[in-house]
Amino acid sequence: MTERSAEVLVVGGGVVGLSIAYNCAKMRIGKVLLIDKGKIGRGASSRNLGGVREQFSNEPMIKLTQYSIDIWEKLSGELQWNVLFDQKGYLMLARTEAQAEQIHQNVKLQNSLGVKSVLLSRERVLEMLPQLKSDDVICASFNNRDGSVHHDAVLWGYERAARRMGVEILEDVECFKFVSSSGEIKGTETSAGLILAKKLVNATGVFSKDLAATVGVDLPIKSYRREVVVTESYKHFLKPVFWDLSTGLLLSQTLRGEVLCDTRDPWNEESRETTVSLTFIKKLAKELHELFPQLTGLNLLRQWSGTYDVTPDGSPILGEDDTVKGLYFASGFTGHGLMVAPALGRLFSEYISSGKKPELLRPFRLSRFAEGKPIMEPLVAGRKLS
Amino acid sequence: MEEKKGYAARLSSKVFNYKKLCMSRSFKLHRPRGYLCGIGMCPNCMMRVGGTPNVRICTRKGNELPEMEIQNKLPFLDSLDLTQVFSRVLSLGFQYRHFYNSRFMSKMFFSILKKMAGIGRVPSSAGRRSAWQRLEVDCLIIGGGYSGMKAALAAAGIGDLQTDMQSDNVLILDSFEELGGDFIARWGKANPYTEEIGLMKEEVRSMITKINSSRRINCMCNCTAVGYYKDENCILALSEDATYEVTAKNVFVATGGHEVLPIFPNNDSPRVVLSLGLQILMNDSAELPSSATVVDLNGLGTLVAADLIWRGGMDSVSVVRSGSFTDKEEELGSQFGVKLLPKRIVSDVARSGRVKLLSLAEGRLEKQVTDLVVICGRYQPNFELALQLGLDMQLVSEGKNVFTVKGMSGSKVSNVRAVRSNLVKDLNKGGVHNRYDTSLEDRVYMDITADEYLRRFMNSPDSFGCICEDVSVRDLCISIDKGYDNVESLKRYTGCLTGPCQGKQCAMTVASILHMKNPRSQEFLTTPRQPIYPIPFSSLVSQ
Repeated sequence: MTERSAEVLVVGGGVVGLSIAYNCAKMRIGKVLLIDKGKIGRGASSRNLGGVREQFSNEPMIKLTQYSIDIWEKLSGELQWNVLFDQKGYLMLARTEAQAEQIHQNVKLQNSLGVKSVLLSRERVLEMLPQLKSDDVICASFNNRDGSVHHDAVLWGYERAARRMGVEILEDVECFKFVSSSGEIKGTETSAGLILAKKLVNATGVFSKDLAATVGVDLPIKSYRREVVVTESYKHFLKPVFWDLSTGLLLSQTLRGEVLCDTRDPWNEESRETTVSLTFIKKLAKELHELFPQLTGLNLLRQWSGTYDVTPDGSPILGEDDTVKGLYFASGFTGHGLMVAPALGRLFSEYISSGKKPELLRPFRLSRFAEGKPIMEPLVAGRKLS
Repeated sequence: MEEKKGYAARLSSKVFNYKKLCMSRSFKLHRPRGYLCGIGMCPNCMMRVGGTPNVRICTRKGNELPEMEIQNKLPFLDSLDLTQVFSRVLSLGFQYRHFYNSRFMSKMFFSILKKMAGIGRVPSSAGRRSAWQRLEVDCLIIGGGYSGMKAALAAAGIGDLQTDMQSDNVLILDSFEELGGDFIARWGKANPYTEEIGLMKEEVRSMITKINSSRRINCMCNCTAVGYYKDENCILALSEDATYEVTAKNVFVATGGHEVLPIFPNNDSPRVVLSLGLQILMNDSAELPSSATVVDLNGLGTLVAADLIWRGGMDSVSVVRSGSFTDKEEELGSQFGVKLLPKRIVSDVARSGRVKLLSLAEGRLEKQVTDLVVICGRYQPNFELALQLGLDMQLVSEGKNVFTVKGMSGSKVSNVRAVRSNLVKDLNKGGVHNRYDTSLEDRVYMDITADEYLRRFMNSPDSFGCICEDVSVRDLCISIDKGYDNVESLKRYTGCLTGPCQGKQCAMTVASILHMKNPRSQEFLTTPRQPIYPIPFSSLVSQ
């Protein structure tokens, strides 16, 4: 086996890994190599709902997603590939006073940072969602700039662009452990032999924790199953992405007319399984019946599941490790990896080439947990943070 | 649990009209589509019934005819042939290759897409909720066909086969209205044209009687198993008005196979019907036309033609086959007045009913006019449940274009067994069977002549591999050449295997094309997702 080496080695061929690899190659940092233990994008990147939003409840995440949406708007042109970014809006529904208060505050914070989210009255909500039949709707927050993308299109777009830029992509190469010496990353041991690298990006989703542990770094990441359901195709009736804060019911109609449905995980147990459950669809059907009785007449076409890499505060862990120089983390996205991937590509390539940590990434350091400065983010679809 | 027996005819038999065959419009190209499979294995008969969209009327029964409507109808497109436009100008994946430089264009494109996309309109009222029932049984048999019944009798200890269990709590689930599977649906009301059919009919009838009189065996007909859920360790099964969660100590999977559409130009024409679908229509006494061309790809052609004449009273029926006919078949043909046309394949079916046949020996085209083109198609095994239950099953290519299911006999799970052969000899070894009649085996899982069709029509833009998403075989071939050369990426790029039929019509075709373009490919199947058949959300909300 020949020994390989690279200036930048990205481990994990999901959307985040691809975006970072593509941007690093574009900055002409040196040889960029990307490895994946299976095929490109077969993990969480192709199992998600494709939602993109900047409606978050803390400043760092709002700023990061704001920057990301700026890039999303022009990404198709940059990649020469239409990623089908449809800015159809994202609606978060409040049905209790506490939720109404929460979204009031969120909208205030978002507006102060330049996000043009608005509060919709009960009447406006019912007008926008004629099928919604619920007595306890109070209000909703809505943002026009949010929307959804086609996850496969994004993966193909980045993969093609990355290859064009000269990124070498190795599929079916499994990374066993990272190698470091005297506080510096040296490379990684893989099923294709040792690969040497000066900079290594760990973008392996739920497997980030295991790999980080091989160089003695403890990432506080837990992995949970996240189930999704898609219906048959129907004529368009649902404009925005809909999310009910009480039950966690989330609906989004794709360009093909299929409705992606999702709700909060009923199991709440750590798991890396990607099986699907009856409990989940029963819960989903019950909530659909409560909120959109008409929609119980839709046909459920198929279910699948993926994994969420969840951090204690619901925000990702981004940046270089303090103890092992040259080892970068892009993990713990808690379901928000796809939406920030374009921003991370830009930020990480700047970071790696200049060695200076971009301002936007600074709050997301790993040491925030030890310092007692978590970035609490309760707006996580599919999960209730403990 | 009481056995429910044929109460009402299928809606499809009441609306089937050979002069106006269109029942739906296709998703992308707006092509007219008509009745095809008759057993809920295709997207063609999805109509709006009494305010509920996307109802497969071939599986829905009723005594009164409700209000029905063709979906996705855009009258201004009816006279256009979009296929030609799409195949030349707007190739597959054009949405990724256009409108990316301008946000305005992109937005315009999305709004047009949203107007055009989708099949049914949103339902006008809430779906009907189901009674929810939990069942626990000793032994569950999925599929009440020949092998399912054989397994049920053996499990109850009253059959001619022995198993290691002597259960007094056996349950058979079957989606037809009576036991006997394909065999009864096809030949139950037919004349036993051959001695073999006569013998089998006798045996099947006696098994049904035995099962119905046994206290150890319960049957739930009209009840479809839609998936296995590992977390709850149960099989979800649905009948018209109830939902069942079935837990079983032992499971026998005897789900058999179903016919699929072969590849030839305009194979999606409303005039094209699968043979089992047509025989089911005849059972329900639907009004049938007077002429038919039977295309034989599974060896049943002559028998089906005889059946059409005997029961449908047709004037002119011919059978087309790429191979030749046996003496026995010729005898049967002359007995019924069926025209046998050997060494020919279908090369076009026009909307007017003109069928072009290509004579393989002389290479010239023959034309004939027919009301219906009846396909005795290759069989695709119903492998979804077997895979979900953890059976060690693979689709293995045996050279050329022939696939067999391997490993059905071996199992990773001790209490689940697959029963596959039509004649089961020994159930104790996890469904290991001896071949009783190899030609029957071949007929079910292999295909003798599809290769010929595939090779000839691989580049035709109007031969459809996937009828749900209007993906032609040419689209599939081009996509494979572009690098989407494994089943997962091909699925994502073209949309095949993801439509309303979830691959029930296209899985074998996709496998064949993949194998043909890339002989080294090994993986032909994707993970079969739950539910196996689309189910309304309302069936999951208990009353």
